Amino acid sequence: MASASEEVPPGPRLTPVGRGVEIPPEPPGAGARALSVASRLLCGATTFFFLAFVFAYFYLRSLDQDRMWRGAHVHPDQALGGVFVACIVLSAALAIVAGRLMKSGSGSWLAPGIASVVLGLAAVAAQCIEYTLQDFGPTRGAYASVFCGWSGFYLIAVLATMYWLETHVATELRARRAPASSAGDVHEPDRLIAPGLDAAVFYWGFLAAIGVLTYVTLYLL
Amino acid sequence: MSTAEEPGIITNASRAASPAPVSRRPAPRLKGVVGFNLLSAVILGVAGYYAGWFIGHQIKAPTFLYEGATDENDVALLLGYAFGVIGFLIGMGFANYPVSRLLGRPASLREKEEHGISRYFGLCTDHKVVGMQYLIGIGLFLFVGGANAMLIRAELLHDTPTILGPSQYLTTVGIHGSMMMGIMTSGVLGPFANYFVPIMIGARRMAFPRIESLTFWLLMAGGFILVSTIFFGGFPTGWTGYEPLNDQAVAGMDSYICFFALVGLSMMLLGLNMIATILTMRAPGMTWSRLPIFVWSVLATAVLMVLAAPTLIATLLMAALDRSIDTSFFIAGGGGSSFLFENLFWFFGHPEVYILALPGFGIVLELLPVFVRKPLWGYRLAISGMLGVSLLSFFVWQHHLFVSGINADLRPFYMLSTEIISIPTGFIFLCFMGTLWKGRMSLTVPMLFCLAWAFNFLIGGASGVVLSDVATDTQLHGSFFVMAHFHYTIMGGLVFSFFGAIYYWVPKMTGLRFNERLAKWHFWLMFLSFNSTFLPLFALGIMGMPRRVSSYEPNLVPLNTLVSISAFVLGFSMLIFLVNTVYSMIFARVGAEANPWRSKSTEFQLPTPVPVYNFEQIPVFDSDPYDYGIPLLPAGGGQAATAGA
Repeated sequence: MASASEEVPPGPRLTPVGRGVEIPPEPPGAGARALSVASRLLCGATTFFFLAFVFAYFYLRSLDQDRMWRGAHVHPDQALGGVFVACIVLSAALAIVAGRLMKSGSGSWLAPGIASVVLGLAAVAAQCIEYTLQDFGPTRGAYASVFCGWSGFYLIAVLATMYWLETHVATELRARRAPASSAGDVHEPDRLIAPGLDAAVFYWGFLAAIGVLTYVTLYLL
Repeated sequence: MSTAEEPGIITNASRAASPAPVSRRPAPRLKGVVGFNLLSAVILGVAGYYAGWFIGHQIKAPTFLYEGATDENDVALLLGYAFGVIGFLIGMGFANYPVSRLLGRPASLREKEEHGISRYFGLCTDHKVVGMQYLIGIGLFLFVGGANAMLIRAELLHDTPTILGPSQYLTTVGIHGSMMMGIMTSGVLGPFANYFVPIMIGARRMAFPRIESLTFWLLMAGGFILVSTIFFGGFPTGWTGYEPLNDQAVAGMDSYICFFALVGLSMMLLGLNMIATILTMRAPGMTWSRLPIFVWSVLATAVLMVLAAPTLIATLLMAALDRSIDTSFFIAGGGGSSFLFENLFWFFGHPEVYILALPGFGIVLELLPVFVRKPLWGYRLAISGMLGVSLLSFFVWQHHLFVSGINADLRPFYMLSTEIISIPTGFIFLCFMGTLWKGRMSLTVPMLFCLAWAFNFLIGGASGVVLSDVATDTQLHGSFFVMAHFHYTIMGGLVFSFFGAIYYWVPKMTGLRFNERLAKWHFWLMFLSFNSTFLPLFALGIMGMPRRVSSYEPNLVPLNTLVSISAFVLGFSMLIFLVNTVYSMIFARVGAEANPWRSKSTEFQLPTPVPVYNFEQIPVFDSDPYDYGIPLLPAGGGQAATAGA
């Protein structure tokens, strides 16, 4: 072990927390930075999740096992798929507008924010309608499996992102409707919403780009 | 004591002047029972399982005659598990925050942070509590995995099946492998990184405290789901879940799929939280060049977790769809390919090996300077080694498929990339040796485990280079040689460093000392029996002993007997550890000093036990973490400073 004459006390000198001491609030930027980083990391994770489906698509397509990659009547409806992806792109664009308005301090971000959520949910509805109308199921060969798996999990990702955006819209609506009075209420909604909205908008923009890739791969190639 | 709240929300402190609201809390006797806790979680989990099971039966085969045949209905079992996990998490209280946000009610960051023992059995946002939860939870499943290993070695005492039938043997191998590979992905990051990374970087909490707690409970739910496979016929695939066996297996395979999907989700969220914490919550002065090497290893591991785990989740979801709604991702008869599974699995599976190994590197390099009393040699080299391993691990996966009929032109590339990965790994060894050089070594128990790590991992790494050669791998693939190799890297590398970390950090976490005599007995028995267990496996592999088969040639019995006896001694050494833990933590309860190792690391400058919010004031770091043996600067350096300074 170290000799007694060695450096004492070692390391940085720190003051422990005493009992009953009021801990000051964190610097306001800490949570925002963490959310920003998390949304970027989530984009990375989402990429690798859908990369597995992209790999499956091209792997099975190039393999074309017993010519069972894609049967004769396995064609998704391009028009409904187009509506789906158009809703998503439009929704993402509106979310970006909402995010920019929020950054500029404008209170008018709520309208494009709500429209973005509504359009995102409309996209989900369009995809569900397509599932009911298409004349093939997931068991009709490899393409049908990839189509249903990929688009299905993409749909879940869209729904989750709509939930994320909705939480900010709901917080803003609640704060406007009832002024803060008790613990847990929002008295400065913009300070609370801005970092989260920024992160959600970034992620939604990224997911929309994946949506375009999904459409091109599954419907057009 | 109050804590930091989200900005923009009225805090309890700011409304202290207002009259307290009338609370309608349950009576004290029921207080611990009613509410969001482990009991509610288990009840809702079981209810959720049966709800999912019932719905699954209604979807797949809506007839009462069919409902008993769960082993023929994967939809029922998969939905049962999914609903069960959701119910469990709701019971724990994980739905409260999302529902509040859905309604526009932002919740505070704190949850059950200052209560007593009950906080260890529920959702708690204190990173130190989560660290302790992980330590106990992982220990429990390590015991299950270890018990399965003992069963395997008992079976292999004879060259024909005796204790277990062939399918039971395969299930035992599968549970052992999956438990060890799945649960131990969080073996270091769960307990030690959750507990110490925020302290080491001068933060009061993790970036996302609820997610931190969620990762633990997801892992525990996964562990119990894997064990439940024995009620559904087990699974024959080992930990890799290979197709087409996966699709052909009975319902026990669904337990494997759910288990690994939950492990993947937990891993991804854990990694995301770690990166966000390290990137955004470092205290002033904690520059990249002052970051403790353990934190660097956590960062390198977390990157792998965030990127590799989603591929695993997607692959398992595809497998679940194949089994439940008859898609054909991996079924050749429907246009799919089992090789697709193998490729996707190993795209995750090989980084997984480094997810296990990298934290071990970090622990060893973190502990070494403390016990040789000199600075870490080659700090930047060690970082580049870890990041290099992390990056290269995505480019080697096809070496697992050398004998699976891959294009022969691809083999040289993957052979080369696998051999190249030994270079950054060599950096770690170089730093280890450089730090040892002319150091004043003290052979404490944690240091003994560090030295054992070097010995074991060297054998594991060198045999890995041998196996990366296509010609050698073609001969040895599927043999005990491969098994010896990965046990040397994972058990020899990770588990030894894990125990080093336990003996080094647990006195800080609990405030209690281990009995040193028992600890040394544990080490020496573990080290010697580990080597006498796994070294002969190289020879057995070369002699043709196959993996996952309980029948083998009679001429291999003597070596197998030696291995089994050694394995039982290895198991006995774990019992010594268990006895030591119970004795030291429950009966003897000898208090540990705040800094028993005279370490310069931040966590040892805090009192034991570490206070709830770690620091009264955010510290300012003004020196390197490993400047042992360097004369002290005049007083004044390294003082605590105010938050945000």
